[in-house]
Amino acid sequence: MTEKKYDEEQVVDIEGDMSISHHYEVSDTGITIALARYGVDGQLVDCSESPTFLKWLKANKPAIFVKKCEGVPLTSLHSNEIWMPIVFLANDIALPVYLNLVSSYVYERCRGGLKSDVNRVHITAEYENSETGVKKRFTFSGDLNALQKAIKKVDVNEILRE
Amino acid sequence: MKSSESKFFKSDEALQAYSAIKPSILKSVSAVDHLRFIDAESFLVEARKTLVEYRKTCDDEISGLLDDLWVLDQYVDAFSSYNRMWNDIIDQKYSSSWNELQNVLDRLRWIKKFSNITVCALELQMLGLESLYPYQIFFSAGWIVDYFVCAICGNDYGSDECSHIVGELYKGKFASISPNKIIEMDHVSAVEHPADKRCVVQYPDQSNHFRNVDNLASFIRSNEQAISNFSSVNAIKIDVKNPKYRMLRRNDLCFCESGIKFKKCCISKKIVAGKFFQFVFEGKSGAVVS
Repeated sequence: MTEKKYDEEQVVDIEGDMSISHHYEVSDTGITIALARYGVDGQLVDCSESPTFLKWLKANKPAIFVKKCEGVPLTSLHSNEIWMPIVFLANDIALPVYLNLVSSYVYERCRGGLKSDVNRVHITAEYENSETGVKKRFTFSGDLNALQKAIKKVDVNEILRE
Repeated sequence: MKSSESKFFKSDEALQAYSAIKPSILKSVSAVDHLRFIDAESFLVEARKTLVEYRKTCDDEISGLLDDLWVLDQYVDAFSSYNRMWNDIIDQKYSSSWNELQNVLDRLRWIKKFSNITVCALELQMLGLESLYPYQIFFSAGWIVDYFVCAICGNDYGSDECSHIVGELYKGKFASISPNKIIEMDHVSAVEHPADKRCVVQYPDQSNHFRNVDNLASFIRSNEQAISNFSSVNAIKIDVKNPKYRMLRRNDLCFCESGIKFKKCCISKKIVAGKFFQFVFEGKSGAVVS
């Protein structure tokens, strides 16, 4: 078997030199779509899901500013799983807000699915605490139900931190 | 017009077209039940002609009507694939029947997404049938492409010039994308949940891998069961006698050709876990051990 059978989410502190913000000029507001290194040569590419997600955001949440790189190659995967682009969230987009957006997007995208269809989503989001300057990376792999649980968990953690 | 029926589609007018093709669809399903596959296709040709005639007279400006007619095209195509799939199964062409099964499932997804036509029974039958095939692992290619071209407007899908969202309908046109140029073929993965289940390892139709579908085909032929009565498959795990088991002396090499002594290999495998498939037909059930 080549695929993970389990659902998982993880939040880790990241060193400055590993973060998206070190490699890219991230936006002070909204969402920055980062490129990923892919393939044998480590070519910088955008995720094939990016254009569709951006159009969905434009149609449903036009107020959210999105920064993206233009004219870069895209990956084209033929798995039924949804690989969301790696993003950096500015301080005006809290992680739970972004995760709820992704949840709505995935729900809409999977509309009409059959009973047997498995809708797994992979998410990577980085963000920075404006007060402490601590950078964190959130990663998630799982289905929509697991994502809802992860959102609740992240929500509770945010409240406790405040 | 019943209010519940009018909710099938975005436009009320589409219900007339649906009512017009429904008799042909029912005749087609009945013909498949009697294994008259050529007749079944001729009824679907009638349904297609009805839709073509309806398109000539309908008002394109009616909101949602073109999308509804696209759904009805998929509805007819789903039964056309259903017909070819059962024809292949009865003719023991199991490899090609798998592709037709996937055609039916794809169309059911679109019908469910863009209308409220009830397809639960057909979905259940198709998913039950799908579970009888040997395919568990599929191949999924990973490419790097320069950009994707929108099938509707022909523009770069990621650019501001293209406003379409893949997988949605725009005035009866389905938005899909294709790579403009493949820069690099990066990998081929083995996955359980591919975008397209047609990418499989091909087995010969006579292969033992298709024994479950073969048993179903035999069951339908020998019991004169109507195909439309086949509603689902129950998979039950039971203990069965291991047909390969041979009683050997403890220190002999095992019968399974592992090269290990019998006492350290299959000595305890006299009974093994077997999968028991129950074919559920409305009114009558059949069962085979896999």
